[in-house]
Amino acid sequence: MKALVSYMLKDYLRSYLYVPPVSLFCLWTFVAYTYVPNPIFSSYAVSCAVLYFAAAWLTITLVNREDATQFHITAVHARSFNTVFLSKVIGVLIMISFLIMLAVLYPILIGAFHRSVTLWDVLIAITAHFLISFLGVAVSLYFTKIWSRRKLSTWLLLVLILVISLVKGGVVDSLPSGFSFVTWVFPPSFAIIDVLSQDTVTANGQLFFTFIYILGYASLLTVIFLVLVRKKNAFLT
Amino acid sequence: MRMIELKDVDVKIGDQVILNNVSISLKEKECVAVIGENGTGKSLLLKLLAGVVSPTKGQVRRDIKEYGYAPEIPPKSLHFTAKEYLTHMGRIEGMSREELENRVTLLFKQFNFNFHFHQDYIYKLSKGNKQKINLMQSLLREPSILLLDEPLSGLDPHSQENLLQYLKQLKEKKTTIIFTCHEGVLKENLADRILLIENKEVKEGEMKTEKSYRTVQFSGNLDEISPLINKTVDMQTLRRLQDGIFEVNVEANNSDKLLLTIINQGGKIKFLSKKSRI
Repeated sequence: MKALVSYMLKDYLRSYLYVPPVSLFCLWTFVAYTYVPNPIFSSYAVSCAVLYFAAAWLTITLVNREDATQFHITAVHARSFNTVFLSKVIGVLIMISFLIMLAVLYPILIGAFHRSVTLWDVLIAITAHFLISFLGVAVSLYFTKIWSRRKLSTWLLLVLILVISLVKGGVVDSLPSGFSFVTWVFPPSFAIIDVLSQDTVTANGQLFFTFIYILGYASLLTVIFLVLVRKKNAFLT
Repeated sequence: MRMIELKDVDVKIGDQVILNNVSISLKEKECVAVIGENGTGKSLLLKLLAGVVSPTKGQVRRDIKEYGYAPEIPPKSLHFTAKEYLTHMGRIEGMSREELENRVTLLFKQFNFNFHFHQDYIYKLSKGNKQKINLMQSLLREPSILLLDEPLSGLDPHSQENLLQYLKQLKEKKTTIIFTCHEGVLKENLADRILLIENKEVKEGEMKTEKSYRTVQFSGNLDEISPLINKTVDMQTLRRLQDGIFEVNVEANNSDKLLLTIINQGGKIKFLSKKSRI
């Protein structure tokens, strides 16, 4: 697995496909904290939302990086399809971990918050950023070229789903009563944004449940993807 | 020993059945050519055997784990040099760095991979060089079964001959080789068995062995030479051209043996024709 991740990352880094999402995220982070002081968790809620999109962008470009031929060769050497896909997911998460560090630590280092940050605040922020990124990765796997070769429509549909899932709370309020179930099909990224929208977030049962829920949802999406991809004969057409 | 077995296998792409009810068994040390017209599913059959495609219906049984697979179209867009790429593929397979260093050097030599191309990324290389890299990755860990999709595609005649000789060596080392091809040269020189894909079905094809011959003109003492060569050549084709010069037709495979015998008996080779089917 280590060799696979190293191969994936090296080729991806040399392709420079990561430059647009990473630079946009960095730029956003620097601009967002230009004015100080800022509320801690509300600021982190916004960086989570931006990271959600960056994670999706990185996933699509990294998973689509290998062409069908190379994917088959890699799978034969690795002796497993799932190992290859898992290594791609791990590769994206490794790249995202640098963005998480920037998103969480940069405002602390420049003293951009209105109060001092505790260790719990940092741990909650890192976990929230990681989980929303993982969710973004898991959702985006279904929009890679394994499923559809129509690039533009796939991108547009993915962005639409990400946006709706982020503003799910507002969508539910605007729907007629009894129709809120329509939003259930969208990934639960709003749950994290909702939790972080308060200025004081304590490590209580509700927070723990939200994190477990997101982790379970993203893991399940990834597992279902791995099962489906095997059945669909990935990259065959 | 059976290595791979397909039983009542169907493969669909979208709604279209490409391979229907395929039942084949590949045994140890076999060399099998898969032939058929364009688009009949030769590459798909190889992908199925390599395990990168799952059957829509039926069973695939593999009794081996170590196999090499070279697809028809070589990888193209990679940002690696040939050595980096082969090292990565070997590392993914679990080979040690030292083992890989030796193996890659050996493969570069075997495939005459030009030193000038060592520093170039793969996407910058010619089709032929990409194909060499494609073949080399399939041979990183001398596999017990080798699946080659159009292995001669893109190679120059010298490299084709080189590959043919290497595959012959592998065959002698008891490697099972399955390849798709349109060229007769591989089929005739390597295959023990032919699988023909026709109307979505895989059938056993006929081995058409078209022998090739060479004409040898030599001088020397025929009484001394003829007893030694009568098992190698068809003596009915022997004719006297002029005093002390004879001509004989010999199966191309036996020509080296004949030439050696003549020279060892003090004779001289006056003319040696190219291979032809007569």
